[in-house]
Order: sequence, then C-alpha cells, then structure tokens
Amino acid sequence: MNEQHTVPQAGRRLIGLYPARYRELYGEDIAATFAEATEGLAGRALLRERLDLASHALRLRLGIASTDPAGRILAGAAPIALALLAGFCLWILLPEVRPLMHRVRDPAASHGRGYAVESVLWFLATFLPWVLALAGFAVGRVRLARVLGLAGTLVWAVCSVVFDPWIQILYGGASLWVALCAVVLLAPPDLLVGSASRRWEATGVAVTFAALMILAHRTELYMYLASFDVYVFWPLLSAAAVLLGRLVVRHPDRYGAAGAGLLGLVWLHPAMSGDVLRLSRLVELLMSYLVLLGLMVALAAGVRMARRARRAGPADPA
Amino acid sequence: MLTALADAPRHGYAIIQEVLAISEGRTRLRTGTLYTALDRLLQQGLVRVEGEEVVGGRLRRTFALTEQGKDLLTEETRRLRLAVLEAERRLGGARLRPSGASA
Repeated sequence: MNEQHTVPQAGRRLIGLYPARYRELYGEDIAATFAEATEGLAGRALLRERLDLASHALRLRLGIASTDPAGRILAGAAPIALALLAGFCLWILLPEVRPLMHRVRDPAASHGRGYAVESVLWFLATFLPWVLALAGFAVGRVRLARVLGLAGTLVWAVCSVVFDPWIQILYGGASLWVALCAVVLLAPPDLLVGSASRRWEATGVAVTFAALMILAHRTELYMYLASFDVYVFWPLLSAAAVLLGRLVVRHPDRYGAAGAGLLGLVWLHPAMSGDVLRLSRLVELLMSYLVLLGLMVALAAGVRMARRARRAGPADPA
Repeated sequence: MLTALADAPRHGYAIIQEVLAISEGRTRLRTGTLYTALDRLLQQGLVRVEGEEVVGGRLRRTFALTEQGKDLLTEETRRLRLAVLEAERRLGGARLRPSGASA
C-alpha cells in the first residue's frame, strides 16, 4: 500500500466542511482514513464515500450529529414522523384498493383505459412510497426507508402544485409532508438502525392511525371526531403516548421523549386546520396538546416515583 | 466495532478492514459512518484515543477499548453465547425427534 496517503482535491474540500474545532482535532486522521478507503474506488462507490463523509461533516456543523442533543431529539421524532405519514397514506390507500381495480378494469368511456391507468399510477406513486418506507424501516432498512420517503414527498409536492388547491384543503398540503420528511432525513441514521422497539412503535402508530381513521370515516364516530379535527386527534394522542412510553421505561430516553413531543407540534402545522388559516383553532389545539404532554410527563414521574418507593420499601420483618 | 478493537488498538482504516473481515465481507464501513460511530463510542466512554503517530507525514490516531467498553463487549458476548447454546440445544433436540413425536 502507498505509504504516503495524499488526499485528493475532493477529499480536502470535504474535510473543509467539518466545523473548525472538530477539523483541528480529527481532520488529518479522517483525511488519511478517507484517502486509504477511497484508494482505487471510482464511480458510484466513490460517490457514496464522498456523500457519507459530507453527511457526517454537515451533521456536525448543523449540530444534529448522533452525539448532539438535537440529533438525539430528531432520532426520537423520526420514527413517529415516518409512522404518521405511512399511517396517513395507508388510510387513503386501503379503502381505495377496490375502486382503483374497478377503475382500471372498467374505465369510463369518456376517458379510456389509458387515463384510468395513468390516474391509478399517480395515486399509487403518491401514497405507496411512505407505506413501503415504513415496511423498510420495520425490517431495519433505514436508508431504503429514507429514499422511498423522499420519493413520496417529491411526488406529493408535484401533486400539490398540479392539483392545488384541492389536495391542499383535504390533506394539509405539501408543507407538512416536507417538514415531516425533513425530520426523517435529518435524523442521525446510526441512532435509528438496530432499535427494534422503535420499529415496533412506529409500525403500531401507523397501523392504529390508519385503522382509526378508516373506522372514523365509516361510522358515526366521524361526526364527533370531525369537530375535534379528525386529522389532528390521533397523531397528537399517539405522540403523547409515545412520549409517556419512552419516559416510564427503566432507562428513560428523555431526548427520544422530547422528539416525540415536538413531533406533535410539527403535525399541528397551520395548514392542517383547513382551507382557511384558523389561528384561534390552532391555538386551542396547541394548548390542549401542551396540557396533554404535561399530564403525560406528570404521569411518567408518578410511575417512576412509585417504582422507586416499591424498590426502597421496608424490609421483611421476618 | 467493539469487537474490531477487542484484541488491539487500531487506527481508522484498520477498523474498517477489521469490521469487513469479521463480517465476512458483509459490512463495509464508510469513512463518515466510521467516525460517526467513533464519536458516539468516545462520548459514551466505551472507546478512547490510545495514541497518535505520524504515518506518511500525517497525524493518525489509534483507538482502543476502555474498561467500560470491554465490560460491555464481555456482557454482550455472554448474552450471544447463551442464545447460541440455546439454539444448538433446540436444534439438537429437533434432530433427535425428526417427526415431531413426543419423547
């Protein structure tokens, strides 16, 4: 092997992306490792190495690395963001499976089969990626989940532009999707990989969200939920439940809990209030959510105190 | 990564090669991923910077397991060994009773 590891121009530029203090401490070491690791690489393999290094540098610069509190909060929020979007898409997709099949099999005479197939493909391209992203996340394929999520968000954004304002009014618009997708993409991947409990948690939130929304729209329950903003009720409740779950375990994950709590605030995006920005309703929901979070934190503290008291209970007089 | 550092301190590229060898070619750490993990392990006190040396005109750091890192690896090894023993025991039992008949 070449003893003198010269760092190519691209490598030097990438090292320059690191924050000055970190670069001073580890810059030379990383440069040497990078030079050796990329020796003989070309094409996509080299591109992946460069992207990986750039990602590490930018995370440190933005303060969202896995060692930073913000990174750990994002890692706590990302599974819930993914789950809520996947649950939302499931809710839209599942009841439409039969109508879509019917539309392709027996297209309207005025539009023809080509139009029917095209509309079905658009529909699937919009709603299927986040469901597949959740499936990928559930089996530990975080990178795949991110790519699918990004693809779904891009299609959604295009749809929002093409079909606006209909889609904006119904589903809260592209901004919420972009915000949630950003949470998923920015979370440090090393904190997401290998956490089985987070995968189960995300799958549970998504499936329950979809099931409750389908149920709400098929029963009288919808009439009651509509007055409490049906799109907001379950996401906020599940974010609060996840926060509680992460605080009551033996080794509480405070950053993860904070991430879940803050994710609820992202979901309370003003566009979710409907076609008109109803600020008073938003404030009302925000206050209710904060009270709910407060209750969950108090409940978690109570459970932990009770557990401590039980452990430190009086010794058996016998 | 803890396993890669279990027998000797190593520098960045040596860790990448060691992980590749341990995983029989399945896991190839990229440089950014390696230092992401090292940052976290250093913060958790599982790994420490063992020393610095100049190789080919460049400053290189070698990383080593701390006592805490060794303890964690030992505990994890014990847990995995128990799981393997249990799997072997059950597989052995299954071989003795191939038709699923009761003993």
